[in-house]
Amino acid sequence: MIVTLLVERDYGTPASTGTGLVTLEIDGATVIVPEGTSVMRAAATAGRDVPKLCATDTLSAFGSCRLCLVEIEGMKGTPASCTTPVAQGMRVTTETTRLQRLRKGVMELYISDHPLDCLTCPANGDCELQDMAGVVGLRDVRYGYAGENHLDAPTDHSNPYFDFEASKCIVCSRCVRACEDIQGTFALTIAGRGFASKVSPGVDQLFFDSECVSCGACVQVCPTATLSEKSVIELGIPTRTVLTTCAYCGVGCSFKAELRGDQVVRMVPYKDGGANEGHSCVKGRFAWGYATHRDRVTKPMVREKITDPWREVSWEEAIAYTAAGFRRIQAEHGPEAIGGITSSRCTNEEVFVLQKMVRAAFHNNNVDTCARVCHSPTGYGLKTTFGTSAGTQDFKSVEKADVIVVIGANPTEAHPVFASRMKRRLREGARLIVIDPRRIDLVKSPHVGAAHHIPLQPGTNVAVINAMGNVVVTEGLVDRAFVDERCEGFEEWAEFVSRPENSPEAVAVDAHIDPEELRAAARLYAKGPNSAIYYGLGVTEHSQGSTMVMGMANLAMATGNLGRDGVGVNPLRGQNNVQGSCDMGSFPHELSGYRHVSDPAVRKIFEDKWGVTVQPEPGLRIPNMLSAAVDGTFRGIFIQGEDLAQSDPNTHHVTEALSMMDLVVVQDLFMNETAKYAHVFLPGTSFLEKDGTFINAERRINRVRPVMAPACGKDEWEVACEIARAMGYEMSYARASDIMEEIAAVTPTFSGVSFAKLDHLGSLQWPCNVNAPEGTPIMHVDTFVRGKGRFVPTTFVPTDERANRRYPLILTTGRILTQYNVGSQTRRTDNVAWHPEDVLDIHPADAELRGISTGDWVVLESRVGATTLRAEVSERMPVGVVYTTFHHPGTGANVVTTEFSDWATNCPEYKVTAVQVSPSPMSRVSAEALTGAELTTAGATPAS
Amino acid sequence: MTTVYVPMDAAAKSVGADQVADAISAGGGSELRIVRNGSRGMLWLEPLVEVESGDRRIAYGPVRADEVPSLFEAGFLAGGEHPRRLGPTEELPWMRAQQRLLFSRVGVIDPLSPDDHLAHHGFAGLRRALEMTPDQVVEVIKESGLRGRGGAGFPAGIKWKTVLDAPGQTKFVCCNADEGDSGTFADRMMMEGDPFTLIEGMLIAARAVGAAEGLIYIRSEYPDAVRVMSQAIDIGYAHGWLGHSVLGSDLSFDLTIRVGAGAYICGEETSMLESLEGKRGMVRAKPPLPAIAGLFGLPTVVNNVLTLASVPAILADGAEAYNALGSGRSRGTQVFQLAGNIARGGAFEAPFGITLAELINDLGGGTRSGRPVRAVQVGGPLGAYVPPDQFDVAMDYEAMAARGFMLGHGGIVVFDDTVDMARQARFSMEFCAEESCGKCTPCRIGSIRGVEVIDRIIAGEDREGNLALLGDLCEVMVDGSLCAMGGLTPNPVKSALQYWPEDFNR
Amino acid sequence: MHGLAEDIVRMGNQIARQFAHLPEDEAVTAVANHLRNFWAPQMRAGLVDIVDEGDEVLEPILAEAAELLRGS
Repeated sequence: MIVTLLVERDYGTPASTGTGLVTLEIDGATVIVPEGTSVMRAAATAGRDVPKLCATDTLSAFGSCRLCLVEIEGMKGTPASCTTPVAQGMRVTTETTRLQRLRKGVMELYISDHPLDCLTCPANGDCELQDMAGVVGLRDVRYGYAGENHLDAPTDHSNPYFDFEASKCIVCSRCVRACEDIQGTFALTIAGRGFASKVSPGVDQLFFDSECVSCGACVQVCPTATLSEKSVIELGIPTRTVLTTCAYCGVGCSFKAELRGDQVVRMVPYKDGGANEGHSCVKGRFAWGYATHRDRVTKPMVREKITDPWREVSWEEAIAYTAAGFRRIQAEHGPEAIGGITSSRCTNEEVFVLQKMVRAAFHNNNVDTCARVCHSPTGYGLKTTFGTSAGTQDFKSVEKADVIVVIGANPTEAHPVFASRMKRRLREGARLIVIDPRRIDLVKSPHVGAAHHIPLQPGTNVAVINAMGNVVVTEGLVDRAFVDERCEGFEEWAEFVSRPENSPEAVAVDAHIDPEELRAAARLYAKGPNSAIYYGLGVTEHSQGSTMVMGMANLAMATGNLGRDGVGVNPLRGQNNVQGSCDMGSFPHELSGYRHVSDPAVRKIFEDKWGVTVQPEPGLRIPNMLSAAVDGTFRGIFIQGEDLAQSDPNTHHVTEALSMMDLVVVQDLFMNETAKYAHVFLPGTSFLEKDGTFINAERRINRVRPVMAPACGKDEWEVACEIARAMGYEMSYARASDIMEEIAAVTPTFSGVSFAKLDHLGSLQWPCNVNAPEGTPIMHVDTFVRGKGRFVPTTFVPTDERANRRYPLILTTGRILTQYNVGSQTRRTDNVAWHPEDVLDIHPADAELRGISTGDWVVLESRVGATTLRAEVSERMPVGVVYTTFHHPGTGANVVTTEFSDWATNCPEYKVTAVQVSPSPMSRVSAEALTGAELTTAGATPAS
Repeated sequence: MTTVYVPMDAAAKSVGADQVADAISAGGGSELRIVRNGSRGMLWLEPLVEVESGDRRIAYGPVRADEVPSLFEAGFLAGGEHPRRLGPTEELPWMRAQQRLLFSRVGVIDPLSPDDHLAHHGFAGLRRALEMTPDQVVEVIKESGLRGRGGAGFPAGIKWKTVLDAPGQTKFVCCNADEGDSGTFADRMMMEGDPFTLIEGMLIAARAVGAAEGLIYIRSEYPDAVRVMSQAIDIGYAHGWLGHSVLGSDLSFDLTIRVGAGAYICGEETSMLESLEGKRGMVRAKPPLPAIAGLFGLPTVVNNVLTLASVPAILADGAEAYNALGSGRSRGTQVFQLAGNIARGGAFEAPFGITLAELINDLGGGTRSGRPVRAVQVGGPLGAYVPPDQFDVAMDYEAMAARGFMLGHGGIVVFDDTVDMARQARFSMEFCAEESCGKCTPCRIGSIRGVEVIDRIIAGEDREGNLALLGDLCEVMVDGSLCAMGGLTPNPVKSALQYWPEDFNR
Repeated sequence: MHGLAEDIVRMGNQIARQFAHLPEDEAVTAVANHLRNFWAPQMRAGLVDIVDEGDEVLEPILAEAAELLRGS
């Protein structure tokens, strides 16, 4: 762990991807660098940092500040070292009296238009302008300070997280370039010209009102105090760094937590982070304040009945109470009457210990994970076809893709840091196919546009993917060499997809698509040459979610788009550790590493290690646990960091089941909707307190390091161990790394993983074992994990959830950039400024038919429930489809979602619910009062 | 049938050419044909009316609309005597003194007549080029010694060779017609007077480098040029001179026009490329050269109007003929533009090497005010001021540079002895402050500080200190600026300080 | 019908329909295998009970698969 402030070396310009080497001389020293390297970077590698202000190694060279001038033998003038590439035999001088005079002259100009308030400036001590004035030895500004200047430029405080102090701007364009090149939003521009040039969000807008998505890239690259985090302005410069991993989405960005003492001053994306390479989004960068929010529950609490008030108790009492309760239920109702749910927000270590508690102390396999409701079909589909339940690529692979297919995902909102990487590749010329009912941002945004958008009817994914397969096979676009060498079952699949009923023309009516467009998309994908599929919950959360995953795998195999850079089938995981929680053996039928409980050899490994018998039959899944609870046969549950009552479908069914149980134990940061039905509340730890690992969507194992002690006094895995012990099963670990040691010992794909190796390498991607000691960025390179890739015919079976006269619209759900999942974290940050409530998007035609305008309160009703929220009339929607998010408990979008689920995995069919929308009879005022009241409840300090 | 020529050139129109044409049209019968030609370049004689008479033309000018009836009365259609009668155009001293290659058709032909173009050896150069390999075409241009007319004088053949050799399927030919230098108008006259020659030059360039697409970037202040070029492009497509299979060959070339938005800096080639890409006109750092990574990052020929318009004659008549003209390393002819306070202003084409004295005194006739010439600025707002005792300098790139001057785009602006050179120096900085793209520090901040420092000098505040500061600032701008805008701004300032120090000390 | 029994009928029928395109004996085996791999024993037993009670409308493939699960 790093104990002082980590200042990353800035080489001025990005590393060259050139392969050849160039030898040159810099200040008399011989330097060897890859061709294409800038003179500036070459000098920096030789320990000769050339002064610079507009250059930073996350942005391509710009050449505007003119501080980095050097002299090069045989070249006239004083070329800028940032924009001059090295050449064989070049002789560079970085310091001469002429250069010193020029640099001082440039700095003199800068400072003639800059406030002289260094001592009280928030960037004091962290300001490149200040550093450069020192480096060039500026002692006097002969122009004086009375000339034309920008010292009166007003400061823009509109963004909740950072200020834009325009008077300190040196117009280096780093922010503008970061917004364009790194983030790809193009919210910033330089307005005016000459001396009037200034950074402007949009056309003279405030940051908050502009297109800015608050990714923080501009703040990070700003060399002065112009763009500063409000937390730094308030608290001052941090003094130490802890490297850790963001706990929001499945991108898994590496961050430097910068602290003063134990107080986080800011989170800054880490340049060496494998997933994010120095970029971030508004959530990871800024929305971490929930970790110390006053709503945090830090003491265990117990109550006999859910109508009783909570009683704060000691850890000992809470654990004894929990253990006794579980044992009593098992005594009365049998060993199968209790179970546990692991959380994708927790570390691998916490998840592993919890599933171990269930299997070893509960003596059953009733353990499931919240991935059940998001990516369980990915597990089934990719395991069946390829042999392992994981995405095939690393994120970096997208940089080599020629055709990118986005299916049922909205990366710019839900996986923004990866979206930026994808958009950069698209700006470089890769083609994009979007298969999604909604016209998501990627379909048309600045400098990015989809070659084909297939706005299919929700629920027809499989029909559409089959039709694409039909085009590939019937038009002779199959990669025969790949198929013959690497796959099996092709002929059967090819016969199946080439049937007339699978042609684009045949599926066009049900899927609401243009068959010619789909044909063109299929051809584009097939011809690549490198085509990559990225998908999200719009694929999995359907009655045929698993089938669709296999359909995509079929298509990728048929076109040979697997096993190298730039291709693959890639799930974009929702939560930070969905991949890990699945890998850790959280499913009722699988032990860690996706090995079935029925395999005696596998069980033996665990039984030997754990000293107990492991049950050979699958346990209950979450929805079945809840149904069994309604029956009275399942009576106790341990819920780790998941808010079932808000996130799971058909809320009424969930709450009915919870209220029938004898013992509901919730471990969480905050009082949540589920906790309303709990008997024991165990305080959890935030990511800033955890020690362990997360695994992101690219199978990358990242370290999570504690920056502060657990607010509740205990690590979560410790609590699980204590419950297990209280129930009579001896289990304990001295530290989190010991848990990883056990995971590695029992899981072949993790056998080479240890905290020590992770600390050394930064991160690695599983499988990591003797065959791949530093991990595996790309899977299935020579052979598939299962040997041959298996084609599976994917018959389209329409969902039973259909629009009808009573419920004529289809509801589909999703996420928004600034909020995360059920919102328990982001709602406790200033992110609410952007998304104070969930709204219902509806097509203008559907809205007009119902007399609904933007801002109107509407009732959204399905056959299982109804809720009220505001409407937003939007052309993004196709006719007949409405959309909302599920971030706010006041809205309770899952009140209306149904019990239908994926046939293979029970992943809920969130993406298809037949609904009716009607103007709310409730007056606007009363509806607002209601929402306000609920929000207050959600945010209130729990009774104690 | 008698043909009368009345220029449609914007300069002629600005002094009433349209009204003169209307008046002639109204007064003439069905036996009269009016052709709206380009200007002959003798702008002090505009509107210059020419009457066809056998194989020559009789010139009358400057003609006012209200004088037209008297022209008819004088029988000007038959070359009758009139106070405005100048005699046969080609025998006017201004015309006889020139050697017109570039402007050989300007003012002679109907600019938008395909027949005229063909009748005047149009496409002779292109047809030659189509018979050659790209390499051979490039070789001819190299041998001709043709250099870029935009100001920098870079050898065109070397630039073309770089584009030809650059890898890639898609390449562009971009014509820089953002003619923003003070006292320059040759590009405009070329586009308005002989658009097909420019198109032909671009076709030859496309053939030479393997481009299939071209763009002409014309400043918005040139609406007439935009109109004429647009019509010429339409006519070109209609005649198979543009688009697929040009003149039946395997060359395909699409050409479009883009209009600027009033920024001087977009005359700088990389800014122009940014603007063509739809971005803010901001200078790019070089390398990479536009020849390797130009428009949309692809190999691109960027040449000035006059450079490209020189090409057809070089191909038609051979590199040797072209190379025989000129002085030193400046080969061929240049269209010099006389402007400012000058008795006879206009465009004058001559081989490089003619002296300033010949241009200003012999051809231009000194100042229009009749007062002595005190200074001339050559090469636009970034060019040095030249004092009369240096007028013996030969107008070629190297000879000018040897004395600290700049030929630039060939614009010459004359000032009489009432000029205040300290104010002119200040104006240079002010112009830079106004027109800087704002990217690099020396130009963005330096120019505004330059104005302030000169103001202090003029006001007599710490003259010595401020003169030293101005000198340091000039060094930072020259050595430190990203492009020629900031880098050359000190030229006029330093020349004013050098030759007219007394103006800074009043 | 309530609780787990409802899950069993709904999910079982849904699984059966996914394999309906296969020849009947293959479909029955596939459904039975799927239930063995992914369903808890009490759910498989519950299915057999439901078949025996005969009150629910079951896909024929599911009913046949239940026979293969009997006693397992």
